Amino acid sequence: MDEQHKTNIDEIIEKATFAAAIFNQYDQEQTDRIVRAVYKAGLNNRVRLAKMAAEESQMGNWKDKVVKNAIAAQFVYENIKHQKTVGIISDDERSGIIEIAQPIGPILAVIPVTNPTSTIIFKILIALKTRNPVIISPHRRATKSSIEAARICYEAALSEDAPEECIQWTTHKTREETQYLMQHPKLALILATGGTGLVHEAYSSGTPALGVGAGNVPVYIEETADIPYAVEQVILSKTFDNGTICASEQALVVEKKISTKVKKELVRQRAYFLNPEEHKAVEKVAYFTGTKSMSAEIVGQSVEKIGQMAGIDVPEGIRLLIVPLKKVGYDEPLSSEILAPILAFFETDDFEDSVRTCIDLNFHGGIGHSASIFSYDEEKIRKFSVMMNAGRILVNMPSSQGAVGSLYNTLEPSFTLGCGTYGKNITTDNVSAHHLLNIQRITKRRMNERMLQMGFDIYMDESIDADTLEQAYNKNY
Amino acid sequence: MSLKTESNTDQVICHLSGRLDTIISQNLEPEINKYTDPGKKLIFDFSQVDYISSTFLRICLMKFKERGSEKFWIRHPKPDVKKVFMIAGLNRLLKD
Repeated sequence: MDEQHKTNIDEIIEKATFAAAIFNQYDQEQTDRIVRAVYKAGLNNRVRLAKMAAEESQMGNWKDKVVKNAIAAQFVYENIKHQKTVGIISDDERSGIIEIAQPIGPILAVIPVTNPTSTIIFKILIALKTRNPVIISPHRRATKSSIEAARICYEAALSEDAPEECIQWTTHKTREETQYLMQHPKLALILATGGTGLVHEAYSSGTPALGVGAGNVPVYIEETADIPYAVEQVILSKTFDNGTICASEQALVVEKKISTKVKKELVRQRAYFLNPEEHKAVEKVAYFTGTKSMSAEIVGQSVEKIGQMAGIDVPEGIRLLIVPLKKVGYDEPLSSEILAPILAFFETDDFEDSVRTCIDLNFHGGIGHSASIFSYDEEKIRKFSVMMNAGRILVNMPSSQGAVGSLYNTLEPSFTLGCGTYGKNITTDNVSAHHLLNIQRITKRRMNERMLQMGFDIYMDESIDADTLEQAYNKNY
Repeated sequence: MSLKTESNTDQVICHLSGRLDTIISQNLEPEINKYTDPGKKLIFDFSQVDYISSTFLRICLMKFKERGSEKFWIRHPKPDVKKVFMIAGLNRLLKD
């Protein structure tokens, strides 16, 4: 990387640092006015930005992208609008703890190609709500729509007197430049939403990062489930924006005793079961065995397009392709995450066998992300959930829209879904504004009465063992 | 009025006050730019300043770049405003 490129990045960071400094003076009311202006601009431009993103990325469909933009603007705003994010945010006399919210500083927001404009609206809203400047790093296949989304938000923010350069964006960068930006000592945090490699780079940069993990979401239709309803919900979810959401279902797991009914229902609701030859043809275009990952060309494509790519005849009106599989792993590429309307189908013997299959799927590239179950047996729902390693276990709902939060449940609306330590993330939360604050605690003197009663001298006597100390500490004086 | 000046043969002190928001900063810029004598020190007294905008921060930085640390500095900022310069990494502009 030459000096000019370094200087350009240094300038971006310097401007963000200045914006952070100015932002630090804003009170809650001013901050909320800016956030409201940005939310309204995002919502007003939901259709235009969705069309731009769909056209530019050639992924998904514009109508579902409108819904994503609306969630990112309206639902996120409704979730954060009353939150206290400036100055003293809580004061508890009993504990003697007063909490102060401080901004964290310049944030680098890495944007995925699958949800570009919605992720930008979401990240800008949560950054500004917490008085943090944000630098948008668009995906190379969605640069134009990403910059337009950022520009619209920035203009709206300035209309309410936000700090200059509180929103910036970069154009295409080399890997070296991205690394230089991520490692910049003045960068406070990376909000990394994207592929595993990129998230890993963010975590390796030395700058604190909130990232995401890959998903490989199993959906278990348990025998007590309402089958037509479950199938309807799964298709609604898996076909949403042609499957681009990483929380979308990747494999159906169904017990043999109900599998005939489930299959019939899938066919009735316009899913198509691939025969072995068709399966192989789709596998070739959907997965690279070399890199052991889905093909970028398949992501967010329609069933029709996938049929053309694979050279197979898919009957008209089909919404989803189903691939019957017997095992999970690299030998069966389509048991991996494929962000397109292609869904694996497993038949199992009983509850335990189903959970075993879901564990296999969960650990095959989707650990920490999400899992889904359709059931009315509370005990089984809990047993299943404890066995899953997933930040979100979605019950009787579409997992794509469910995991994003606030539509089908009370999870926080988010386009950055934490996958916990197994997914190499620091949290399993749906990331939101409160993750972008440094919380300072004023602590008033509140003596530990039990310690006062017991005294420290007791520790000095070596003959007194742990049981005696436990008793002494917990004595009811 | 946000600006009162005190001048002698050696230096010009600009006493600024109140909220130096975007509009006020834009109005102040031509006033401040009148003090062009390179022989004189230019000092911004911030003891009465409650808030500074991005625009005014830029003016300060410009003056610093034009005149250097020997001929330009800011003095007596209130804690809130001092913190702005610290976060911005511009503490080199502050001198008492």
